[in-house]
Amino acid sequence: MKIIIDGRSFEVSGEETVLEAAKAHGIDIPALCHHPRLAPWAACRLCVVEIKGRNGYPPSCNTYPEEGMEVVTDSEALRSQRRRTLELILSEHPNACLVCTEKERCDEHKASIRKSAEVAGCVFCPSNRRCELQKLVDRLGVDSVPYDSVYRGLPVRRSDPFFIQDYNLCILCGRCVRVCHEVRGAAAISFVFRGSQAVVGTQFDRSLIAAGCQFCGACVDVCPTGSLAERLARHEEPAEAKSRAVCPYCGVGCGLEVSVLQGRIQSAAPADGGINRGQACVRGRFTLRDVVHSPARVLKPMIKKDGKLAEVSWDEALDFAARGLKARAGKTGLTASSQLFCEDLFVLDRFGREALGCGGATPSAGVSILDELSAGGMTGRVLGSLKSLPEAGTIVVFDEPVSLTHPVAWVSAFEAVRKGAKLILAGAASGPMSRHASLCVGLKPGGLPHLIAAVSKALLEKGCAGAASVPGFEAFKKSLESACVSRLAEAAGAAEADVRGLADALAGGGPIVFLFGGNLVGLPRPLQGVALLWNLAVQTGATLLPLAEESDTAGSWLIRSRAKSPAPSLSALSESLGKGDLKALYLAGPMTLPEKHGLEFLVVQDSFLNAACAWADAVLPAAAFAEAEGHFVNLEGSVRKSERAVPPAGESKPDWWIASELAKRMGAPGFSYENAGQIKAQLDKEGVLALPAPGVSGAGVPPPVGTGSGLPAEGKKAFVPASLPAPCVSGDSPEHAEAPVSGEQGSDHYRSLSLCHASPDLALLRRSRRTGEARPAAKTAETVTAGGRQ
Amino acid sequence: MDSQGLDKLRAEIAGSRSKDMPCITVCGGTGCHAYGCLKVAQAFRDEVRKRGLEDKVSVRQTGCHGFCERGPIVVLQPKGIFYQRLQLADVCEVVDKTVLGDELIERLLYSDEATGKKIAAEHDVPFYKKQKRLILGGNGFIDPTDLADYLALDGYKALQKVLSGMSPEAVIAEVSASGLRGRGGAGFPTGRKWEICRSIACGLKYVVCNADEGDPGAYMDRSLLEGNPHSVLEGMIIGAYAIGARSGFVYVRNEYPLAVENVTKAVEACRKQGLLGKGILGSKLDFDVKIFKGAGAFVSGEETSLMASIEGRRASPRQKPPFPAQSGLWGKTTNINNVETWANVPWIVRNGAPAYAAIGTGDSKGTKIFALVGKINNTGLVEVPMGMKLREIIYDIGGGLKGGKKFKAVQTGGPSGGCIPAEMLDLPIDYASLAQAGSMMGSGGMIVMDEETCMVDVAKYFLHFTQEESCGKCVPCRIGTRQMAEILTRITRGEGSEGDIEKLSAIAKTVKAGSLCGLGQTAPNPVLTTLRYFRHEYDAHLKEGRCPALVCKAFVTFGIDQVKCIGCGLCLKACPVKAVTGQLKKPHAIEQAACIKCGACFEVCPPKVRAVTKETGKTVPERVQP
Ligand SMILES: Cc1cc2nc3c(=O)[nH]c(=O)nc-3n(C[C@H](O)[C@H](O)[C@H](O)COP(=O)(O)O)c2cc1C
Ligand code: SF4
Ligand code: SF4
Ligand code: SF4
Ligand code: FES
Repeated sequence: MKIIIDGRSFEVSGEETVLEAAKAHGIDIPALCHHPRLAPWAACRLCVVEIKGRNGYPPSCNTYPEEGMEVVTDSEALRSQRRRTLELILSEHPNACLVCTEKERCDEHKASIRKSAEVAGCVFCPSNRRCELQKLVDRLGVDSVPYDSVYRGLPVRRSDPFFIQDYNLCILCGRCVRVCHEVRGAAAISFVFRGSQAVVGTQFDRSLIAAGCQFCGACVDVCPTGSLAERLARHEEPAEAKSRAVCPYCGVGCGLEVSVLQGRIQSAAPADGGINRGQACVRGRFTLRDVVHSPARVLKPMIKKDGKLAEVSWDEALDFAARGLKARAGKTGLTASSQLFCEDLFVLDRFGREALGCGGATPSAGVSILDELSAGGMTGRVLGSLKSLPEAGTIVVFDEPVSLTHPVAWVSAFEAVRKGAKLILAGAASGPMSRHASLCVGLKPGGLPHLIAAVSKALLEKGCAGAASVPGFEAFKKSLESACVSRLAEAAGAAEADVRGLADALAGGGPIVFLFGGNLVGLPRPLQGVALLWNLAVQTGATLLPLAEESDTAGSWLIRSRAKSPAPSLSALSESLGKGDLKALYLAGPMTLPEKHGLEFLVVQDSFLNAACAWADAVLPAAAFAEAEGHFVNLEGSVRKSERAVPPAGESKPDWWIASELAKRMGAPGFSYENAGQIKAQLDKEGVLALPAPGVSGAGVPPPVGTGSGLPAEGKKAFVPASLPAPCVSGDSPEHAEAPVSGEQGSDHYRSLSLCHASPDLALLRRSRRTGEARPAAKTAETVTAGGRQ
Repeated sequence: MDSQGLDKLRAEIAGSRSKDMPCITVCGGTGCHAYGCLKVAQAFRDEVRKRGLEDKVSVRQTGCHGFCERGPIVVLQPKGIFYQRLQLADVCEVVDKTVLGDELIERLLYSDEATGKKIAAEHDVPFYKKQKRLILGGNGFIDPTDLADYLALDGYKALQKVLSGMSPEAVIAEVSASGLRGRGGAGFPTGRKWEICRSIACGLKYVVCNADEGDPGAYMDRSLLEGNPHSVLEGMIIGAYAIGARSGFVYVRNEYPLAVENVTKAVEACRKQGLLGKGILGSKLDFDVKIFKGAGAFVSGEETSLMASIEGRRASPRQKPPFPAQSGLWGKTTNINNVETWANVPWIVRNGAPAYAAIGTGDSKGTKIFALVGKINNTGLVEVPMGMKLREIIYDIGGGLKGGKKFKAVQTGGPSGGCIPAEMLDLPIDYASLAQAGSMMGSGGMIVMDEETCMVDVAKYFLHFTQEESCGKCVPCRIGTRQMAEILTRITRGEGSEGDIEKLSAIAKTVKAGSLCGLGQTAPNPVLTTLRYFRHEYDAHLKEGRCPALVCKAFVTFGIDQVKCIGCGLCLKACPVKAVTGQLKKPHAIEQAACIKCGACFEVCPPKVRAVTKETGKTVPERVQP
């Protein structure tokens, strides 16, 4: 449709507001409460415009174009209305600096006076020079506040981890509340009180921790003022430089904008757009600085001298390590963390095969979902993408506390829920998930395979034969012939009605997505569970979205699967410890070693000092992710580039460099890389990252580089053989009591460093949530009425 | 039950009730409750039973009669004898003399203020005489908990008429032709609203009755819901039929327990008789009503805020459009009308649009109920035809000002209405005239103020109210009302400064033009109208150091006339801060520096003496802290 803005005629879709449409055409209307990711709120009243035929001044942020609409965005009346409104805002905001006549020259004169308990003006404010209010004051030319100024005198809230809340600076734009409700689904904060007493707060004025805050930082990032300020960066000057990194923790791979001040990371905020669209989680948002600059960093190469580790030069350390390793070639194991860049993993894998003679790098995270899928021959199905998740009609989460392990995947799932999708939880859940679920199916530890089988059977009993023509259907049907829904349900620890409810929901259609992750593959027989789930997906036409645990789980899998012979699994490697065959170990990924490991030679290549260093013969300091550049492949197969933000700590070097240097010293050819770019070029040339991920057909289809633009669509699909779990009767010891070898769940770690160890605030948060959050009380009926939530 | 069934039931009820049978109706409105009407009603019932008169005399507890000032009110039907301020002790005598005999009890009759004459019949009482009680009238005859009473007064006949052959369009046309406009405040044409809702294709539609009634002092919606809930429900069912809704809500504040109780009972009774539920009266109409109890905040009455509240969210308004018709409850088409609006519908359908349109003025048809309160003799609920002059309401119905004081202004339209001065007493009460005068119809609050009212103080009072009741969402309303309230407070405290009036007008303009919802858009009205009509009072405060009405303490001084004072010492004893000095039988004096201006001395000085003076405009010495 056509509308006229300030006398110019524009073609607009009608779906964006007048404010957005104007902006798209270069007309920037002042606004404060507007945020592109949030529903219109129309509270600040600065975006007012005049519209022919309408009374008063409608807010452009909440007005949708109509054919032929004539809008005026600038007039003397509007300017004065906006100025007066802003003056009113300023009357409740510390305004001395905002209207100070000398403000331009303030920085010249003031020394560091930012450290003050109360913010009395911009120069004390954590948001100084980043603040949207400051910009608007300048833009609207407000130079005095003609009204009595009010300082609310609210106590500054400092007791919560990560950020400080000073609502004396709040202008009640509501962005924080809205992002928490609309985007994160956490609803930890809300408005309390009314009228001039209105303020942002929590239920019963509890701390954010007690109110269920996820500390995702979304509120901090949308706040236009200094009300919400990251504790660590609060008194610091604005950043000197910014670079774009990819979060190294979980498999989502959020883009982060890393701020750098004086060669150190100041903070990290989620990048706009991209995969995470301006969202991150507590780990990526708040722990990078503590992790990268952790006191546990190894700063210099060390080798064992007289039974003790001593700092030496790189040359000495490399020579020493190369000698020790060469002497044990063929009898050496190699682990690599899946939180390393593809470049590092590729060189390490080659180093393992070509120098150590060990068949490649064993991923230190233990069982990976992708390994299981490919081991089971589960190919030909579409793997979901984060981008398509919001379009889902039904989302089933199989025993995974997604909002805790992959919070940004939860954001996409929640977007679907807000659009009306059904969310069904089987087993574990966390924080906001259970509140938004329409069905929570109870689950005993180890009961997941039973539950999946029960649902498959219930669907067969319903006569949903949509999958009858799919290869393998007869065998699949036969395998379930003897199964009994109620026995399986009992063994799963679920109510039979819930199992059938879940089956009904899956029969109901709408794009279905299954989310699953570490808890399924962490079971003693991961392949069984994965195969059962695969079959259920084939049966229902669901899309699988495996939640890879680590930032480069997929990259690691792609790199390893280019070779014919696989590296030993972590458990195989563990088992061979102490048996005599394994003489040396090269740890570029954390591994818990038993007391009697029987190793003659141990090299640790890590960014952090860790337990294994106690036995190490050489410790080689590796640069942390933000100190080098490289690529991760995230859970949906996107190849994502992370830029270097800060120089490597101490003498640490990129992982690829260390491995290449050793390989060279051990006489292996083809390791003369000069920079990561050369390695990436080789990866591209060999098409390593272009291999289709398991479950994706159509080899040769180019990989979606950097964008997450989605994986190839439909391919061959077939049921795979899957054994039924033996129905365990209640009282049986829970099956997955035997912990997976890596011991870690989720990705509260970076390489060998526990994030809780690095960040006391994260430790505080995790400790406070350890009780009670993992398994929600079963929510059996559909308790949420149609549309009955915001 | 189908329509014929209902006719039969109505006939049965009529048959069982003789027209001449004496009926003692005791007002059971909330006002009379406070005066103890429950006990009075019980006493009548006991008395009737004691004498074995159950078959000959009936006792009925009805809804509010409107003249709450005079409670407990008892009307003896069929003669319509009006007894006021009737006490428990009178019950026996009333039964003896007036119910069984023909004798009137003088002391219980209303006596005309002007003539001093006793008046026996309800409709002759001046308070009622000029009223036209189309909507409120039923209250006096109906036991709200008894569907039969409503049926006996042609209740649900309008619904029968609608269901027996009127198309939804015809119903809407009828309501449109009647000229009915919303009684909740904005005065939007009801028929037009229904038409819009009807025209939108939406699988699920809702109708909502707005019974939040947050205006201080207003209680007409409450009285209707308490006293005649079926009239509201009948309107809603007809509305649902007209727009095609299957589900409805009555949003009533929990502070109205009797309204909640009575409307809940009425809904249950309707369900039992097939007036709500599936296939209403044997027709194809399915419709049911839920009662939603709100927590009672002024802003919850705003329609988008009300819907948020029903959906379980904070009662905070949102920008319109979309209007509720376009996106209402859970995104569905929703038609919201006020209690009184709904209650008008059955009358219109029963009597036809022309009959309704014959009442009122050009753009304002029918009657309107007002809550007449303030410094007036007859306070209570009055229902008058639109277009009646303010003067008639205040003097003829309201009986003039208390204590013969001079009229100063009347505030209409609730907290965000405006103050209309004495010069405009001949203003006809209709939507356009009120708006033109800078006020509004609002929900029908009418606060009468006499010469002892300070208009700056009044503006301050209302701005404090809106400041507290603003939801706090949008900037102009949240901060603007606070700033206005603060400036007004300063002025009344004698701390005003030059430029305050300009600031007030500037903020008022910003708030009016910039606010998100009706609350903010109208909140400056009390300031704007008092500035318009009573500017001199502001000037007196700001420039002359006077409060002409002797209200604002900062400008008031108390003194003792040395000639008149007889030295009785009453004031000395009454003064809480010992500011009065003097010896018995000798003239007393007030230590100005100690005086806190509580006025205790002024109150106790014997009327014959009147030695204590209250003045304004005198310079007052700085008060010393005790
Ligand atoms: C602040 C505010 C309070 C309101 N309170 C009420 C109320 O208590 N009762 C009511 O019926 N309408 C109230 N309204 C008006 C409603 O928003 C709405 O216009 C009305 O219910 C529509 O019904 P009507 O067309 O029958 O008048 C209020 C409006 C505002 C702005
Ligand atoms: S940190 Fe996240 S969860 Fe916590 S209040 Fe802010 S937006 Fe809500
Ligand atoms: S804390 Fe920040 S984001 Fe939240 S309402 Fe206040 S100013 Fe807006
Ligand atoms: S005008 Fe007042 S009540 Fe209405 S939305 Fe704004 S703050 Fe809330
Ligand atoms: S941006 Fe439109 S009202 Fe705030």
